[in-house]
Amino acid sequence: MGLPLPPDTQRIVPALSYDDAAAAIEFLCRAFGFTETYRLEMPDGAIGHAEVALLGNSVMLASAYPEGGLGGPRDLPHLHSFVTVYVDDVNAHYARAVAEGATITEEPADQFYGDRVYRALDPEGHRWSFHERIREVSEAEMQAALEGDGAE
Amino acid sequence: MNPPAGSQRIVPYLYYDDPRAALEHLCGVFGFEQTMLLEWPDGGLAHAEVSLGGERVLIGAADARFGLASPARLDGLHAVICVYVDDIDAHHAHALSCGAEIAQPLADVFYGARAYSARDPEGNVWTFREHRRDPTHEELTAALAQLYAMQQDAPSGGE
Repeated sequence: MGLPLPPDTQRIVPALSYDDAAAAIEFLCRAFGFTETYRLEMPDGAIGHAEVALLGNSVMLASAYPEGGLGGPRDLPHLHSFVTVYVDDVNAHYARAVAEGATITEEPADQFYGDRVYRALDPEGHRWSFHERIREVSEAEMQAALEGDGAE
Repeated sequence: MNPPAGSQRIVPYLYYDDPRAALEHLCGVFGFEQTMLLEWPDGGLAHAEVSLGGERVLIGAADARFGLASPARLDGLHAVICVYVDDIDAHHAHALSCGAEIAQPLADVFYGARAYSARDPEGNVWTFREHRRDPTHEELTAALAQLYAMQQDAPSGGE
């Protein structure tokens, strides 16, 4: 039988690929408030597997591995996913990210689905969406909002 | 309230050309449950959510205007998803019985899990794992060095 989940991880964990994973870890910790919790290096110095944690959840990351079909976002014309993170104070989180030079793609704003959200890019172009749930909105209310004004 | 009920804090958002087919696959083959589906007035899918073990994955429709594409249209992936399940053998057996495309066969792997990987219909790689033991850092480093040596020896061109 399996053990409980390892510490500092949720059940569903995004694993991101970077050309320079060490630089990415440094940025995620400095600008987005993560803590490095794990790092395994390959004999050539590439990062085979690393984990950074925030508020008891984690993101896995590793150096790009083109032979395995995994590259950094800069290798691709579009992205196929992004990472959403619920923080406790999204305004404070935004202020820190700005101060540390993160590229902001959407300024903080209250969204119709009940979250206050800002969006940023990390140095290699992975997209990050930082959220704080500020009010509860039902699925019916969200659907009505989409039909009413076409808001995103 | 924050994070929302039924959500972990760090949640992947995935984009598909055919998100409804993806939802069907994630629920039918990978054991998720659809918990939300929002539509645009024209009937297009605006946003959907699936849940497994009390956590969720967010699903949207790919749209190149916003820089978001299905992995089916890309030459590689920049991210994969790892999911801890409670009974990996049962999860794997169900996925196999549904004809899932297995990318890495079920095995006890060096990092202490029993795991397998499968591709969804548009090419996202999902690694399902059950946490079985906690190897030491030294064990992990040694295993990784061995894996690295095998990769260096492997003939190129294959996957």
